[in-house]
Amino acid sequence: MAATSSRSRAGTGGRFPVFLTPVLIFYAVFFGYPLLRIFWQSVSGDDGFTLVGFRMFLEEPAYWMVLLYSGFLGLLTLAITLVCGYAVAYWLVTLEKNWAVVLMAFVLIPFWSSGLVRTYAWLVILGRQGILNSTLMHFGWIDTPMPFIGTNTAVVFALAYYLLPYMILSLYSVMNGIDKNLLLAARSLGASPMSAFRHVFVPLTRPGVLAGSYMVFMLGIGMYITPAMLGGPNQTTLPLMIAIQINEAMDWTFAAALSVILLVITGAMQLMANRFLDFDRLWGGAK
Amino acid sequence: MPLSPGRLALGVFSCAILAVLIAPIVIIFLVSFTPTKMLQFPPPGFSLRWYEAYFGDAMWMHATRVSFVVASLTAILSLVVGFTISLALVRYRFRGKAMFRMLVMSPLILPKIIIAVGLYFLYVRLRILGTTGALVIAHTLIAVPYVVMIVTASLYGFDRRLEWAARSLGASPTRAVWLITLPNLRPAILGGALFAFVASFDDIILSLFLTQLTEPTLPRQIWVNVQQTIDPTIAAVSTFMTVVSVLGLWLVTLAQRLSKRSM
Repeated sequence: MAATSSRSRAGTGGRFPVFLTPVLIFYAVFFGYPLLRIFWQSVSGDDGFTLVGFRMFLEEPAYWMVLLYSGFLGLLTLAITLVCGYAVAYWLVTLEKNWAVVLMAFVLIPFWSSGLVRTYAWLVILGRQGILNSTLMHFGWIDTPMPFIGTNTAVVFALAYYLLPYMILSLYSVMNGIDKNLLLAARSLGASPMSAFRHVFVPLTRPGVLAGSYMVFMLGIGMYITPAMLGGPNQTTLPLMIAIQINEAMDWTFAAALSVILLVITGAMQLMANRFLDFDRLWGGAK
Repeated sequence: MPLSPGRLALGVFSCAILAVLIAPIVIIFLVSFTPTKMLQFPPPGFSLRWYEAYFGDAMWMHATRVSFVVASLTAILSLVVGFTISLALVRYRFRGKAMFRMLVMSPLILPKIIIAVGLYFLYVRLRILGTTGALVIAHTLIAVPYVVMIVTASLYGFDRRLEWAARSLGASPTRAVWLITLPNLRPAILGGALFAFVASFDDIILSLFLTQLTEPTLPRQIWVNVQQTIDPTIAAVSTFMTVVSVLGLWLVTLAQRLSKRSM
C-alpha cells in the first residue's frame, strides 16, 4: 500500500529537512517572538522590571470577577452545547443516510459562515428595535421593548449558538463510526434499549465528547466578538478586557499581564487535554 | 426503528435546535431585501436598494477590495508555508517534530486575541502596523493549520512510487515534487487554498488590532458600522460575506470528495 510505504520510509530517515528552515524562521519571528514578547512586556514598565501589571490584577477583585466570568461562560456554554449537541448528533446518526446528509446542511452552513455575521444576526433579532421585540409588541404581549442586549442570557445564548456546530460535528463523526451491531449484540444478550445505549453507545462516544468539549471550552473562553457586541459592562470577559487596555487605556504592561494570564490558562487546559485527547486524530494524522 | 414517544421527543427537540441554528442566517438573508429603512421581519416587500447602497458606496467597496486582496495573498502564502510543513511532517523524522507540529497547529485553539496582541507589539516595533503584508502574515498563522490538515491527509494517500519513477528517469527531487507530487495533490491544494482564503476573509479580531481605520477589511467595516447605525446595508453586506464563505467551504468538501474518488 502507498500509505504504508511512505510511512515506513518516513521511519528510516532521521535527518532534519533543510527546506523547512525558512518556515522555522518565519514561525520564530512572527509567532514565537510575539508570544515571548507578551511575557516580556508583562513585566516591563517605564523604568525596567516591574510586577505592577500582575499586582493590579491581584489587588482588584473586579478583575478576578472578569476572569471568573470568562470561566463561567466557558463552562455554561460547554454544558449547553454538550446536551443539545449530543441529542442532535445522536438523532442524525439514527436517521437514514440521505436525510442525515440534507439535515447536515443546517449544521454546516452556520459552521461555515463568519462568526461576526452570525453574532450580528443576533443583534438584529434581540436588539431594542429588533425582530423579537417588534414581534412581541405587534401581538401586544409587551408594551415597551425588552432589554435583551447587555444581559447574560443574550451572551450565553449567542455563544452557545456560535459553538454548537463544533460540538455536533465532533460528536457526529465519532457516532457515525460506531458499529450498530454492538448495540444489537447488547440487546440480544438481554439489555434493555436504554441500558444498551448507556453501557455500550455512550462509552464509545467518549472521544467525540472529549474533542468537542475541548474545542468549545477553549474557543469559549477566548471569544471576543460575542460579549463585545451583545454584552454590556457586566459581561466583560478577559479577551475584552485585554482589548480595552490596548485600545483605550493604552496600558501595554497590564494588557500583556492579562494576556499572560489567559495564555497560562489555555496552556494548562492544553496540558490536561494532551492526556485525554488523541491529537493525531483531531489534527489529521501527521505523526 | 419503531416510533416510541422518546424517539418522537428526540426528533422534535433536534429539529428545533436545527431550526435555531439556521434561523439567524435565513433572517439576515430575508431582511437584506427589505424596502424599508428599518430592519423588519418579515420584510414588507422586496427591494435591492441595500445591495445598491452596498455596491455603490466607495467605502464599502474599498473594504471589500482590501478583504479580497488580503485573503488571496493569505491563500498563496499559507499554501507555500503549509505545503512545506506537510511535506516535512509526513516524510521526515526529526528532533522536536511533535513540538513543531503543536506550534503550527496551536492557532486553531489559542485565543486569537493573544496572537493579535503579540503581533501588535511586534508590528509597532517594526513600524509595519497597518500594512497589507503585516495582516497577510497574521492571517497566514491562523490559516496554515487548515492547509496542513488537508494536505497531510492527502500526502499519506499519495503513492510515492510515482515520484520514485520520476526520480529513476532522471528528475531531481525538487523537479519530481513539482511535476509529479503537486499535480497529483491538486484537490488538496485547492481545498487548502480555499480554506485559507475563507479563514482570512472571515477574520475580525486580527483585523481589528492590525489594520488602520482607513484601510479596513470587510469585517472591520461591518464592526465599525454596527456600532453606529442599524442600517440594512449591513444585512446586505453580511449576506454577501456568507455567500462567499459558504460557497468557498462547500467547494472544499467537493474537492475533497473528488480527491477521495481519484485515489
